[in-house]
Amino acid sequence: MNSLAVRLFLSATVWIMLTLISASLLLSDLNQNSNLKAFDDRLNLSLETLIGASRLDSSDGITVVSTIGDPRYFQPYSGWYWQINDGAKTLARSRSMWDQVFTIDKRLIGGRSQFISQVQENDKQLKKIEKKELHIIQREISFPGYKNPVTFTVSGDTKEYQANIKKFDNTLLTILIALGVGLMFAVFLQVNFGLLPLNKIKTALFKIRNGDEKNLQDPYPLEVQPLATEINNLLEHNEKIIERAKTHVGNLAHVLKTPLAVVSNEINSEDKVLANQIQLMKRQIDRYLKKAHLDSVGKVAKEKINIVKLSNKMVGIFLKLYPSKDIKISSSIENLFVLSSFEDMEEVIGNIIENSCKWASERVVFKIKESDENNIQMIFSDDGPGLPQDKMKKVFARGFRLDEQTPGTGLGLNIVKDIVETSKGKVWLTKSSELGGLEVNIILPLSQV
Amino acid sequence: MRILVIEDDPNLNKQIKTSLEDSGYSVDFAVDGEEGHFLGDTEPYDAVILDLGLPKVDGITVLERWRKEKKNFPVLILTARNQWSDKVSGFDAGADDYVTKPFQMEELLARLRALIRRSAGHATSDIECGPLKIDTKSNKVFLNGTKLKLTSHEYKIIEYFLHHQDKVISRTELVEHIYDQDFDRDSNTIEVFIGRLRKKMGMNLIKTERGHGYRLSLDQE
Repeated sequence: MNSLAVRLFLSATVWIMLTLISASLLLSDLNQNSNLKAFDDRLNLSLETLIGASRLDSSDGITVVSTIGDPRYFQPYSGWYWQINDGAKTLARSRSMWDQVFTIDKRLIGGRSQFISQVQENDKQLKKIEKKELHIIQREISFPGYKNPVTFTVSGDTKEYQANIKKFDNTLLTILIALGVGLMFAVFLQVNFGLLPLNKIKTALFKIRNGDEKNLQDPYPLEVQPLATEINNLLEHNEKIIERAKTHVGNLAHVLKTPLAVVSNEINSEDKVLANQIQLMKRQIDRYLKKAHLDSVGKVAKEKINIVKLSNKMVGIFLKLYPSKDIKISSSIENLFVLSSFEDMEEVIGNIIENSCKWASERVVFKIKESDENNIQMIFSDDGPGLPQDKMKKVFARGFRLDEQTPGTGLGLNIVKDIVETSKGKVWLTKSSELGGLEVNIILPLSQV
Repeated sequence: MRILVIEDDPNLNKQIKTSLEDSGYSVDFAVDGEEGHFLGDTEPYDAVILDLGLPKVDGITVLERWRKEKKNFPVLILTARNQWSDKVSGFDAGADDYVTKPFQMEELLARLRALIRRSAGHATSDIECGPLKIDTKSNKVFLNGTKLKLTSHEYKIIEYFLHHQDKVISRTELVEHIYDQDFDRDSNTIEVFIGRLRKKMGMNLIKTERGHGYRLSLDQE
């Protein structure tokens, strides 16, 4: 029962079922009663016709002067019978009875519509000959001038209305099943339509997670709007916290590094111990700063970033910084989008080109292309000294530095690796076949939205 | 060469100022963004060292304002943050180079020298004009390979001329770029310095453009 849709659907189904079943029982019962009454009325009419057609004759007997018009009273064993009795003595009976007689059951006399099967069971003879369910009525009449009360009995075959009832019940069942299916379908549509805004929120949240949108924007129905508003507030709050944490880290760096700069400039250049300690402090600060930054990698809201545009901008910066180096950038396609944050991508591209520029003797070549339909590949090559095979893996380790002389924290490539891997990409080093130096390869998944 | 240093930490500010002055620059300084922006707006500097974390107005904003006002002196930013996103926003605002704190003073000086050279269109640390050559790294001037003995003011003037060869430079411009703002300026002293320089070089490389100023050129009049 974890699904709202299932809850609504099941409860509606139970309700519909109950209603339909009781309606069908009620209707079937009403129909049966009315059929029974109509049949009963007809038998009564026949009985009264029979009574009206009976005369006391001269020899103190009863004569039926005319008979009931229905031809079924003449067909043998049709189930439609009549009989006139004086106690156990049969005075007259219908042609259809042939050689049979009803035994008179006292219980039935005077009754209007009495049913049947009990009578039948008592009347073994009749049951034997026709195996029909009969509806029998009897009436006792006293004729003036006749010594005993005379019993009139009329019966009809129940098959006639049983068939009607059955046919009605079948039709009723078909209609109600169709109605039930229709209602269930309507409920299904209603539930889905009703829950549509929730699905919309789900899609919107997915988009937010993917970085396509910043918050829930559409107006939502009255019942869902408070939820959407709260989610928006939460998102905003989250972003603020991350922003604040970053500002704090940055501020801490600032307040620590400026005094450190003062101290390092104040000491005598011969004081190696102090100078080393300051270098160490500087590196530790940078290390923790980067660590703090790494922890936020992938947690910032992502957005679609045009890698080609960003790369061109970054290369522009390096052309300024390294005017003596020949930095070339080329891209197979004008726009390539990656889902990330500007901060992370600037860090990746900045660190790698800086590295290439630092080591290149003259040339740095930066290529961007689609490696396949789902991925983007960035290739940074330089004409520097390159790296021996066994060091290529080591440079990604935290704090590893190939060269203690050039400034740096030894965290650059480690950060690149962390960012690339959180973005479900790959980074590896190889020897540049084009320029002879180091070649850094990065594969990142293209934004699918 | 006249440099503006904007750094809110008074100690660091003083250290930078002293080191720059020792290297032959005239230095003005400010300790907040507002004052710094005003100075950069009103005085002609050859380069600016700008800290990004400043009180009153932050460094990025100061830089953006200058660039909007078409001030195109080279700007070197000092940042405590080592992330590329901070550097990128600095470059977006119009910075030309950056140095991250804490730094070695030698590194800052080297970057500043390179920046000034680059903005004047020179690729190497040596700038030449015929027989005249200046090594901006060691603050030495050579004539036909022989080192000239110059006072600091004379050096500042010849350095400015070498960075702006074939350009007419007025006396006021020279004053503005050679003295910091606290100096008692007297444009007549310029004439004295030029005269001494001409004497020391023994040849008339610095031409007088009557009514306009001076020009460093190899042309024969």
